[in-house]
Parts: sequence; C-alpha cells; structure tokens
Amino acid sequence: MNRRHFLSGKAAHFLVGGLLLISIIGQSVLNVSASRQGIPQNSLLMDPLSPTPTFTPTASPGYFYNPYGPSCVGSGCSSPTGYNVVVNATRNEQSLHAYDPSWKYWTGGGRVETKVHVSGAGIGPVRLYYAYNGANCNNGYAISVFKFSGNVNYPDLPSSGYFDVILASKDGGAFGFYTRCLSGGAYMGEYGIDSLWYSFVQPVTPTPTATMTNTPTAVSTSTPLCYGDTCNGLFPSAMGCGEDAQTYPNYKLLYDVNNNLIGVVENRYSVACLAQWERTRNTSGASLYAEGSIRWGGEVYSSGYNFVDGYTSSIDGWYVYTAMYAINAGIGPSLNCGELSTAPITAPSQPLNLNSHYVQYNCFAR
Amino acid sequence: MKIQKFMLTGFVITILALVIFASAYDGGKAKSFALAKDLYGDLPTPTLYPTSLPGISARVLQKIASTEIQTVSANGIEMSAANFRLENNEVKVDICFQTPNNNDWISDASLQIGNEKVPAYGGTTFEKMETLEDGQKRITTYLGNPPKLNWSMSPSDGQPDYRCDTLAFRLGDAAFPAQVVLQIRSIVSTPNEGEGCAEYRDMVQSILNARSDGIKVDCSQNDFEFGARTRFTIVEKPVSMSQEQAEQLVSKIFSESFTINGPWIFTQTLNR
Repeated sequence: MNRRHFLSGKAAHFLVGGLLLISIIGQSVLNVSASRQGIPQNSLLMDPLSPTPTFTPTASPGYFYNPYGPSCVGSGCSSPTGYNVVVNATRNEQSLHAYDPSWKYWTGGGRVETKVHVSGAGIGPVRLYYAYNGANCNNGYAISVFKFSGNVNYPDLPSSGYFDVILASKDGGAFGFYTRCLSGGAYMGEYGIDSLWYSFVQPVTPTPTATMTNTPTAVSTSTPLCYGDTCNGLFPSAMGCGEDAQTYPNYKLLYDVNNNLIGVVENRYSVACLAQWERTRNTSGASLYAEGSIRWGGEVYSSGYNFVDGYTSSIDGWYVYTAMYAINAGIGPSLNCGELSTAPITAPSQPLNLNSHYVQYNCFAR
Repeated sequence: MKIQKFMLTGFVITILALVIFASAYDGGKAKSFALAKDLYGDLPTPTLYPTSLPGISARVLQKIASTEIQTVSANGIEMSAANFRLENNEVKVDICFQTPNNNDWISDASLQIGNEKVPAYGGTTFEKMETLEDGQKRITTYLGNPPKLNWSMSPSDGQPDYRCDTLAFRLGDAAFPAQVVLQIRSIVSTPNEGEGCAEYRDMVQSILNARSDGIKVDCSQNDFEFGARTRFTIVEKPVSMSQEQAEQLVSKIFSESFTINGPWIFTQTLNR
C-alpha cells in the first residue's frame, strides 16, 4: 500500500512538474517568438461611416476682402442694395448680395466675398444661382466657390446662370463665393456680385466602396466623412481626411529665377480616407501666388484633374491644396503638379505634354 | 532521493520542452529576417565604418551606405551624407538630418561640379521618424526596388526625429572623375495644416524680445476657406517705427521661425 502510494506519488510528481515546466517554458518561448516577428499589433479600424448630414445654414454679412488694404463688412461696403438678406427661406434657398463700387483694386488681390456659416456635419450637392457684372475687368471675370478649406474657380461664366457643386463639411464652418477679375495687373472699377443664391438639395450619405489592403499601424481617432471614391472632388480638411494626412515620399522643389528655393510640390494622402491630393507649399517667406493640380487616367494623366490656385502668405496660409482623388486599388497613378509666382497663375489645362519643361520641373508621378 | 528524482525529471522535461518549441522560436526569427529584407529590398551591401559615428543621422544612413558617411553639424542640426552616385546623367546623393518637429522639412540644396552649380530639382524621402501627438514614434520607410511604402510605430526612445532623402541633380556637361560639393544652405518648413498661433505666437514674441525692438504682438488664427490664416497684429511698437516697418519685421521673423540655416557642406570625388 505504501509502495503503491509511493509509485502513485512519483507519477503525480512527474505529471504535475512536467506539465508545469512545459507550460512555463513553452509559453516563454512562444512569447519571445511572437514579439520578434515584428508584426504590427495594431491595425486601422474603420468604423462604419455615419455622418449626420444636417447642415444648418445661416447667412452672414458679405464683405470685401483685400490682403493689401482696408476691407469692409456689410453696409460698410457702400452697397446700393441690402446685404445677405435672406429673401426666401423656403426650400433652404437663400440670396446673398455683395457689391463694392469703389476704385481701389489695382493688383488683383482684392475680391468681394459672400459667406454662409454652416453648423453640423454633412455632404450634399448645392446649386448656385448667380448674376454678376464684371464689365470693368480687363481680362475676364471669374466666380470662385470656396468650400470650407478649398476653392474651385469658375472662369468665364455667362453673366447669369447656375452651376452645381458638392458641398461637404465635417464640423461646420463657412462656405461661400467670391468674385474677381481673372488676371492681375492694373484694373479698376466696380465689380461684385449683384445676386447669388444657393439651394441645398437632399444630402447624401457616402458609402465606402473599397477595403484596406495595407495594414498600417496608425489608428484614426475619428471617422472621416468619405472613403475612396466617395472622396473624389472633395476637400480633405472638410472631410476629416487631414487628421491622419501624411506626405508621400516623392516631391519636386520650386525655385525662383535666381535659383533660390521658394517651395515644394507634394502629394498628401490619408489612409483613413484612402485618398490623395496635391499640395503646393510656399517656403520662401514672401507672399506668392500658387497653383496646383492632381491628374489621373490614361497614358498622359488626361482622364480628369482637380486643380487649385490661390494666394499664399503669412496671412493667407503658406500652401494651396487640391480636392481629393481616391487611391483605390485599380485606379491608375496620379501626376502632381504645382507652381509659385509673383503674378496670378492657374494650373495648365488638360492634357499636359509629359516632355514639357513644366512637367519635368513642376510635376511628379505617384 | 525523492527530491533528486523530481529534479532529474524536471531537467529531462525542460530539455524536451526546449526541443519541442525550438521550431517555433526559429520560425519567429526567420519571419523577422524576411520582413527586414522586404523592407529594405535589394540594396547595396552596407559598408560598416568602424570609426565613431556621431549620432542619429549617421546611424540611420549607415543602413544603406555604400560609401563613406560624412557628418556635419550646424545650428544644432546634425546632417549626414553618403552614396554620391551618377544615374542617367543625374547625380544622386542620400542625406539624413535631425528634424526639430514633425513638420515636412525640405533642404535647400545645390551641387557644385567645377564651375557649374545646380539646385536639387526634387527628391524622395526614403526614411523618416516623427514623434506623434501621443508621444509615439512613427517610422516611415520607402525602400526597395521598386520602392515600397511601409510604416511602423514604436514607443518614444528619446532619440531625435530625423528625415532621410535622396536628392537629385540634373547635370550639364560635366567631366568625370570630378570633385562635387554638396551644399545644404538651409532646411525649411511651414506650419502644417491647422497649426498657427499656438505653435508660433510665443516663438515670434521671444525673438522680438531678444531683439529688444519694443514690439509686442498678438496673434489670431482663422481657419478659413484656404486653410489656416495666422495673422500677427502689432499691439505695441516704438513711436519711431512705422506700422508698416513693424509689420514687415514681424512677418520676416514669422517666416524665419521655420527656417534653420546651415550650411552643411559635403565634398566627394565622383567617378562616371
């Protein structure tokens, strides 16, 4: 009995001790193995997109903005008519007026702006009705639409009509319209928007159309309002795509005629939004005009492009950037171009000659 | 006796466990090596230089250096250069430098060959490390043939951030072998989207204070249609100074607050 007890006690020792050691050593070895694999432990978690498309528009006084001199707001702009009066609130339709008859615009820097504040997040098409008088401009006339953090220019429009844009906002902000003569140099005389309306159409909810194939370790802290194709033509900051934005490795440097570095053409991208955009950055410390574009499709990137132009300075910000273009798998590479100048410039129209000096020195492919 | 038997049994089982799990351990090592090869691709075999390598820029560059690494410090920024090479009538060189923050810093670089001096027309960032808002480090690499974009996160290790670029220069009719001089005049940045007063107000005021110009500024930021507008307004200035002069000075200081002057100069003999 005692012997059986001894034997069974030995067996028990073997069994317990062995299992314990195998467990401890095995776990330890496996832990080392896993930690040395270097496999990212985090992955990007995309929550279902759930924007709340509830724009609440409120008109604010139209104003004249001039980076060189005095600006004016509302009745201070000597308008012969009322300013930004909501004439018809039904169907979210509003009317904005901005007008300035004075003779103080010499350099192309001044413009008349109207602005609408929007609260809440949302995305939706907006139809813009306008009528203007740009008869005293020397070189044509343009209406520019700014959409929270980017602008789109509509040159050479008829004196009245309408056009549609996609409006999107992540946290609310301002959108609006401004008018300007197309080129700089000496022009003078009155110009402005006689009347301009916008009308919200039923907001739409963006739907993701692609899944991530990469496994980045960056984790987005908030949900962007678009993903992949649904970001096309929209501005990154308004859609929340700037929050995790990174700069693509390739870039082109920009110089003045004396070979002084004045800026850089870059491609920015958001993993959370699966979208990219072009950014032209002024690093000169001086105020300069800038243009930029991102182009795609075909052998010469001629299927489509988003473009931007604007003024860069310590007041206006040091960069301009285009609307976004998706980087879904299967969509071709992009060509990113930009330029800086002391005179107003616009992005060259499509298609670009890939052997041109402009492409060689101002563009790069992603 | 009982204790001895127990210990002997334990020892045998220990050996057994090591044999059984050795394969798992080796598998881990093999996978780790494979990932590193994927990351860096088919790069030239690194030449290890046993001389004391001064800091982060040289250590990072050493991973891909096939020529001697040169390191220069100026204005508190360490920069290293290596791999001067001729590719399709272009000179390319790899540089690494410390970055003061995680803005996009670009280098104002030129290359002199004989009497010809050409600016870098572009570049590619092949590795950079940034400290993110939560204190974590993000390392982004763009290496291999064709290059592949990868990034990883790691906890802060106290090392300075850095950036490594391949700079490209288009040549005229240079004769080789020739001595080439790479000069980085400055590194420049701009405020990132969304940055403004919080990042630059104190810096601009402290520079003004150091200059004893008697100017005090306020800063307002307007996140508007074209991005953030950072506007410095003059709160106080000497009577002898005009408003325009004061504004120009503040604008200049604001611009200079994101420029770090060198120069960093590297010399190398280049063969065709």
